[in-house]
Amino acid sequence: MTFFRKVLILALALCAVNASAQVSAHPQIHYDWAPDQVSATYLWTLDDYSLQTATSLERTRLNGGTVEYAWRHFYPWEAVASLQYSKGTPLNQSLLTLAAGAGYCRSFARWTPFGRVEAGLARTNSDQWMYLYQGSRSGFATVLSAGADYQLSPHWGIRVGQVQNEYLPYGSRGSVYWSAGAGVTYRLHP
Amino acid sequence: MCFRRIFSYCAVLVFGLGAYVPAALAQSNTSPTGPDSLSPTQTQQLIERMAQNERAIIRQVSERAPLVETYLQVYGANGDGLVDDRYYVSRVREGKGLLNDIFVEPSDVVAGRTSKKASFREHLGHFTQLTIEHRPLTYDAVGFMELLGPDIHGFSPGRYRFQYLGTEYLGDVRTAVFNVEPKHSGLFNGRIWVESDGNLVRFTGRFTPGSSESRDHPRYVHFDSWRTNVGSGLWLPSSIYVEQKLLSGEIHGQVRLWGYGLIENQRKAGDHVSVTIDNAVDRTDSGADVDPLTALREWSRMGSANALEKLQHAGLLSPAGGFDTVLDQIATNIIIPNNLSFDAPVHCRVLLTTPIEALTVGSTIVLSKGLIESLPNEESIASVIAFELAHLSTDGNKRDARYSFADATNFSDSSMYRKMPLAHSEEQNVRAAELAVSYLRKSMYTDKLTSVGLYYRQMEAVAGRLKCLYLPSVGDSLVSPEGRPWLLSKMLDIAPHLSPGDTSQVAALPLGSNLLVDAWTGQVSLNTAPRPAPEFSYEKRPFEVMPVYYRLRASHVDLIERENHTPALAGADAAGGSSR
Repeated sequence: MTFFRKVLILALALCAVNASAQVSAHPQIHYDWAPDQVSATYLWTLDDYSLQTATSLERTRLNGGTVEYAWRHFYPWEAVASLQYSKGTPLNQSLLTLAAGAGYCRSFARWTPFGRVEAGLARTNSDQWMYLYQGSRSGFATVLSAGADYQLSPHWGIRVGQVQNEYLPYGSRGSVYWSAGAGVTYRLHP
Repeated sequence: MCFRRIFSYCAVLVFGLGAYVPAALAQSNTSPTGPDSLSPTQTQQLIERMAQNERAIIRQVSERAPLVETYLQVYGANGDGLVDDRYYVSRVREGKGLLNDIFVEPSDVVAGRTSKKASFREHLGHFTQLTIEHRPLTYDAVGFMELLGPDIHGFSPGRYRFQYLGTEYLGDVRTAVFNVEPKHSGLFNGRIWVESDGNLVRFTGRFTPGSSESRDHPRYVHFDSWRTNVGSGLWLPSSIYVEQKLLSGEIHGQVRLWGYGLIENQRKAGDHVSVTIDNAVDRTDSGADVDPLTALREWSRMGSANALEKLQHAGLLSPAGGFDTVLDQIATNIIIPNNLSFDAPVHCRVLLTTPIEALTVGSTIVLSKGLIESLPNEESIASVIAFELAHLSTDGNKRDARYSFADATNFSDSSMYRKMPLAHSEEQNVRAAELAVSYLRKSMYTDKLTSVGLYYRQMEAVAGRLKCLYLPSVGDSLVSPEGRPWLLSKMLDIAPHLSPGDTSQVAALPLGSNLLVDAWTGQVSLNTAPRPAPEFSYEKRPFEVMPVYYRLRASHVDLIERENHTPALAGADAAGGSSR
């Protein structure tokens, strides 16, 4: 079963759980805020071809994760800081990103969709001539991401899905990394 | 030896009985083993009948479309007292489940959500109050409507476990008492009282929190819901007391329902469009048209009649009769010594809503239910009537001509608060306050003006915090925008200072005092139950929401007969249960 199919089944199951929860009584109090949150997300990353050698047809696939902290005292706006590390085949390449930025999130019952813009530093590395340059390289990166969290308990929830676009200004045309993943969330002082 | 043995047996018997009797008496109210207790089969049958009745009740509520008023008061943490309030009026709308037509959400106006400037201030608040205690929360009117039943989605043994506790009398009604536990989260958890025909008459508890609810930020409130027998064994929701502790304080509130007979009245009003008039007498003997001044007065009078009819049609105005006669007498006590004369006799009516307000429509003075409830004595009621009489004597009913054309009141009930403002301007209120005090000084209430001043002192003390309570829906506010009662400004010299710790000083009453409202007709009557004096200062609670407790009684009125004998949109006192 592919990763995307797993994510789809999980999302459908959660929707079913949410629909069954609607039979419960309608709450009398709604809180127009969400507490600060720490999340750990697995990311599967696909690099573009722009910096690969012309003769190679192989895509760069990385597996890794990101840990982030979302500060939501200005809810629905949030300030986000994240640390991401991914490593993969075929040339043992790695990508390390440290970024911070702003986001917007809104809670609807148990669901909290979000969208973010971050900027920071990225460092790439490869054992071989993966990026047409030898060794590691650092630079300014911008990260756009969007996804949705589903709350399971006052503290714990899951990140049902997250899609991320990371841009590194390497090479003549820059380098774009597309990532998708899912993870767990933990709310502080719910 | 024998005597000693007999004596010891007697002693054991006496002490044994002494220990047993108080325990037995203590259990007599709710006893599962007494002669009144139900067998397991009877219990099962009662629960099944109750489950069936509940489905019918929710359908009845949905079809009969009563008005639902929710008023919440927010207490601050650490004994700060009242800090805020919220108010909603809506009407149940027929549909899938319980839906509502919101009449007005004054809370939104108070919170400044309609004003860009206030909205900016609100946002600024987010930046300056960055503690968890100050996180913003909203109350959901639909959520409070769910308290009309323990489970409007299906209160049945399939979803709950029932534990029989015994029988108990609530007033004259014998009930079986059950503890109820839900089989999964988000459902009712508490206690229910079921009368012998399987009707739920009271239930108290809370919806169980789901797994996403945090202990510090509850989404459900505790509630105590009471029903009223409106006739033919039909027990309909009438009053609910709610209370919930929050991280930022505590909320107390009441949800009230009335006007179950409104739909029937409106249908009858529609049916009576075509009327055959028998024995009509031709009074056009003068043969002349009226002069222009009389025409003007008739024109304004027609507007007044239209406005009153609209208020009553929407279920906001109590039918004429009942308590109105008490108010009429007080008005007469002011009119006669002041030699006031009006085009038409002055009458008083009661607006069935809680916000403290008064208004004049033509020669009718209307006082809100919440206002009358809080007034501690006759002279305080007289002061409000004098205030409106002053408006009437200076401005007459010229404003009512706005509603003389039939289409002027041809809008939905739910938009009435926006489309039918009947309030006076600030200048008019200042002038009326001055005149009202002079009326009072010339009346039989002149020696009691200190207690009137005391009432307005109390009003001033809370008006700044209970903005929704003092925000009028359609009429005149009794306080200025600065929070000072209009009348207090003219009585500062005689108004004594408040002594919150003095239990003998009752400046204002809690909400829910004085009046009873018939849940079917909306008819208001005087609550003649004895009112005990407060023993402790915390029992005074001026302008505050109090718990609900009824002495229930079964109504023997036939509901079909009641529907037939309730005059369409006219005053009629009908029997049946009443609620505060």
